[in-house]
Amino acid sequence: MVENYNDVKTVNTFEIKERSYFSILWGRFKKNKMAVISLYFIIFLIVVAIVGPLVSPYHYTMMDYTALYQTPNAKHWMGTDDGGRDLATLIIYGLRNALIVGFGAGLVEVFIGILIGAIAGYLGGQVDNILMRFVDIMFALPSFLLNLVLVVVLGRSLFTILLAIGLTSWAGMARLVRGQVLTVKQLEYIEAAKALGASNLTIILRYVIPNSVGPIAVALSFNIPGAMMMESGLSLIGLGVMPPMPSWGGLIAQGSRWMLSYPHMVLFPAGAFALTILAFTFVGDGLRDAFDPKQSD
Amino acid sequence: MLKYVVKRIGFIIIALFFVSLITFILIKSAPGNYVETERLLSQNVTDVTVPPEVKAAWEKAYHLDKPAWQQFLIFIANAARFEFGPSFQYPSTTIEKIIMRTFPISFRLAVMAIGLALIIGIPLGIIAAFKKDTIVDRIAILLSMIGTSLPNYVMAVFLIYILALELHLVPSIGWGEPKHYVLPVLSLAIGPIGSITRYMRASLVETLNREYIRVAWAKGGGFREVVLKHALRNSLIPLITVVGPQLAYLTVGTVFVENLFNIPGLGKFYATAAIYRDYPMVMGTTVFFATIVMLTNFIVDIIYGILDPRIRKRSMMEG
Repeated sequence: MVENYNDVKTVNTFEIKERSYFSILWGRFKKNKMAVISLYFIIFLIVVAIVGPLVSPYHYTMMDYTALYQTPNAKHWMGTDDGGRDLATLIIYGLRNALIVGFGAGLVEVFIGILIGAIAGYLGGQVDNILMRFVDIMFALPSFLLNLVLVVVLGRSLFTILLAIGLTSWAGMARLVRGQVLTVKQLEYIEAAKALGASNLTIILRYVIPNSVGPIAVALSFNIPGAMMMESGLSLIGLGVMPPMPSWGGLIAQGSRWMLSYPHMVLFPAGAFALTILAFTFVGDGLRDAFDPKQSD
Repeated sequence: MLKYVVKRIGFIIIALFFVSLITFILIKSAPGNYVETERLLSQNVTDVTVPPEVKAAWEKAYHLDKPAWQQFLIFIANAARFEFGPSFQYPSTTIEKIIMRTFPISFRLAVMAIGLALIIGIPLGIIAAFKKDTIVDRIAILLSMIGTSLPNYVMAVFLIYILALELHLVPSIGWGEPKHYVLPVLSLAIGPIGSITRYMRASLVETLNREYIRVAWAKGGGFREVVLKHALRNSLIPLITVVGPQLAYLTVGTVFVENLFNIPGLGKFYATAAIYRDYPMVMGTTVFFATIVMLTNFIVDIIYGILDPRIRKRSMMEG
């Protein structure tokens, strides 16, 4: 009798062993092989961006006129450019800048998006109306246009570019957060929280935003590479970070001028850029599947 | 329908007003002064003081002597008639003339890219749908994913390398002959090819499972009868919602490709104007691009509504 009872108990604890939300997500995410590989690749990139500048024997301002246009060799792993600068070092600094802009602009965008979306969705009425018409306008306009104007006005440092990209790309996030707020607002436990006397701010911060983490993370994982592409695009047309600070777009523009004779000068930055963007996209796909298994095809 | 059209046009006008206002305020708060920068750059002098008469005459020519709100109203009134006046960089011509000369180049690139994308993307999507879950399908999905993820200027670099440098099929630089269109158009088309393929595949896979398609097969219809006549017809109409925004995006997206290939389109002029802080040109072109993008999206929605009565009902175009 006692033995039986113990058996049942063990079986039960085994079955109801609670899995955290995170481990469920990770379990679903792991199913997407490309996403997992890409995630490790991104972690590798972040490590390279931090460690690379510390261990590289070169600096992005170091010119060497005895070593112009070198193809990859033992001293310069990716060769050198038209100023004899070490291409690998330039690409590592470009990577660092791309990551700073990507994640930084993502933060700005999430902050503004949550602020506008939560206020509009939660307060509703006339406030919602006005804010959403503004979002409509921001949405109807290609963000590149305002971005370009903002960069011209604010200047061309890494921080202002990051800010400009963040300031022009939050419209989608605001819409998403507003939608989430409208859904969550109707749930019963929000009514309960209200009845208990929770303030608007508490409800938004404690209940609404945690409920929107999934969709926000997914949107963000697609917007980070978007911000990187915008940064590179601005550099490509001569409006990115001020030289000699390297940016992948600038390296591509510079390398493409020498492409006929020294294709390595453009292929390395373009290849690194392409791989990074693809890695973020694959992780985004994996996250979308993990947060919403129904939606994936 | 009429009510919907009026409402949409109203929104576009209000949106354009706000875009002009935001751009104007931003530009007014920008540092620098074109006369001084120009002098600094062209004459390599450190003393940038300009004779007061010259400065006054210059400010008068660009209405800069008037208060800001008057300048804005003048801009709005002129912009409504498609007049932007002279730019800082090109004082002898007007901005609208530059737009009229250079925009057709950008627009042609965008339209050719979309055309090519349709020609390649639709059959590719159909093949992927029929070969669902085979290696062909996997490759098509992977390619369309790469195409939609990577920016067109990165595509351009790889295309130049493969088609011009390795295979010597097309020239990598130059402008003016038809062959010079090949690389820019291809680089612009790859993104839309990706989205069209992906859309066509998803749409056909869904349609092919419908009962009326199975009935059509059962009745002995061949590929031409079933797929071309029944299945495709239902997939092609919503395709316009995929293609429309792509076209709108591309008219601005050519900026990067034009700069990479040195094509004298509006995008190239726009970027140059921004680098040289040619504010009237930046302002005029921004508003012009915004107008084009919004009009394209508007026209697409109208066409979609005309083609598909269900959408017309849902989006309150009627009633």
